Amino acid sequence: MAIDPLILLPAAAGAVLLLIIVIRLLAGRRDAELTPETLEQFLAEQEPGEKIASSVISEDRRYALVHWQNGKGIGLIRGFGNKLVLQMLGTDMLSDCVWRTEETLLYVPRQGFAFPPVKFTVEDKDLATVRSYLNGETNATA
Amino acid sequence: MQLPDPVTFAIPAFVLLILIEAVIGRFAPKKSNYEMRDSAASLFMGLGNFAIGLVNFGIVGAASLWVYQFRLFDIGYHWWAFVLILFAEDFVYYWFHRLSHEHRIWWAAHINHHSSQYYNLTTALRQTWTGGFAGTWILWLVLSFIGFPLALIVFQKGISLVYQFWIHTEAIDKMWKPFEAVMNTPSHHRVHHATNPKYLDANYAGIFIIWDKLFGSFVPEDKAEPCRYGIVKQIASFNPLIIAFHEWAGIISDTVHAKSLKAAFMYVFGPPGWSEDGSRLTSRMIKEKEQARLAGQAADAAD
Repeated sequence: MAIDPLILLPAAAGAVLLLIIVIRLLAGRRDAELTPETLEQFLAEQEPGEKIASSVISEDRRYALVHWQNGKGIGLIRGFGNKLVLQMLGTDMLSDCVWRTEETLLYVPRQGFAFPPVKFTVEDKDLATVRSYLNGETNATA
Repeated sequence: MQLPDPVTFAIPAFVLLILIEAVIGRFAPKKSNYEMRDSAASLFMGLGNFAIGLVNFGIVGAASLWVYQFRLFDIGYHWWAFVLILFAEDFVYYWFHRLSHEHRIWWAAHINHHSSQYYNLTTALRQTWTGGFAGTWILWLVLSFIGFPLALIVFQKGISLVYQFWIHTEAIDKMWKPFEAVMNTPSHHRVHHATNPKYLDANYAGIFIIWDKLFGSFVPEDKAEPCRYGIVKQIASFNPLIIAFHEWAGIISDTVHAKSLKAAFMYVFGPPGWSEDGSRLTSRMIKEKEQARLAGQAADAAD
């Protein structure tokens, strides 16, 4: 009754590739677009009861930085598929962030094994707020 | 006696059902949510698990046969042995699964299965690559010691895996009440995969939900509280290597930086989320925090 693994494994790999192609055709790649509404809804679920002092959404709507009222720190939110992922940025992580392209792009380096680096494009109107986050100011407002 | 491998024979059904669910998702997104990169990651994890399983089987099989020499009973392959192992293996599965959520070393091997924020049939195939290394198979040696032959145990493990495939779906709502009362269902298992505080560490069942009801870990799905899937600290990678190893990397990093031997021990064997300075939260702490928040809300509403 047993099937030779040398046949079984390539057959399973073939089935996996077939499925990926069909799912690609049916569902495709989905990317979340951050808006103030989606951000608010996500944070209400993720951090209920915590009040937000200010937030900045990147120009390409892929990332957001959030500053909570209680001194909890700065959170980085990123689209992941059509879901969102929140990651807290400690002071050491914030100090590792660097400005690129004449302060229009903030580079957030890889934060741990499972969080790839982020290129956060900043609009002019948000520059001061983002700078205040990096400087660790607690009274930053958007 | 040679018994068929249920998983091998179920592969065509797995493929067909995934295709059907993906088609449903195209027309009814609330019933099934697919994302190509997420599904690809899950399917590669499944494929890797299958390949690693072929290698691991030699070690696990040898250990099982060694223990079988000291068996308490000669159960053999009588018809009732198949009934008995259905419940015995499911009981062992419940405890393996519960311990995998309660102790970080086994959680590191199991976390990959929970790492998707999507919940569909491909999530069922997001299986471990490191379970063999973590020794999660040790619990099944109890069945060999009781006297179940290796082939029967392997057969029942396959049946259990095949059963648990179809419950990874949002396309099926709550089912017939008597069935929901005894069997693990999509509704019960959605709760298990949810990160909402009230759903954390619940419904560890494989085939029968009765174990959760017996051991106090059962939580029914509440329509007022839709499930949010994934892990408490969501990851942001579709890379199967990162999915498979990120928690192991976390354990190594924490252990290296631990300030005491006790802390190093707790980082490996303590509950997931445990930390020396209390800066991270275990499931129990998350639940307590949420209860305190809800109590505060209720008090505010009463004022």
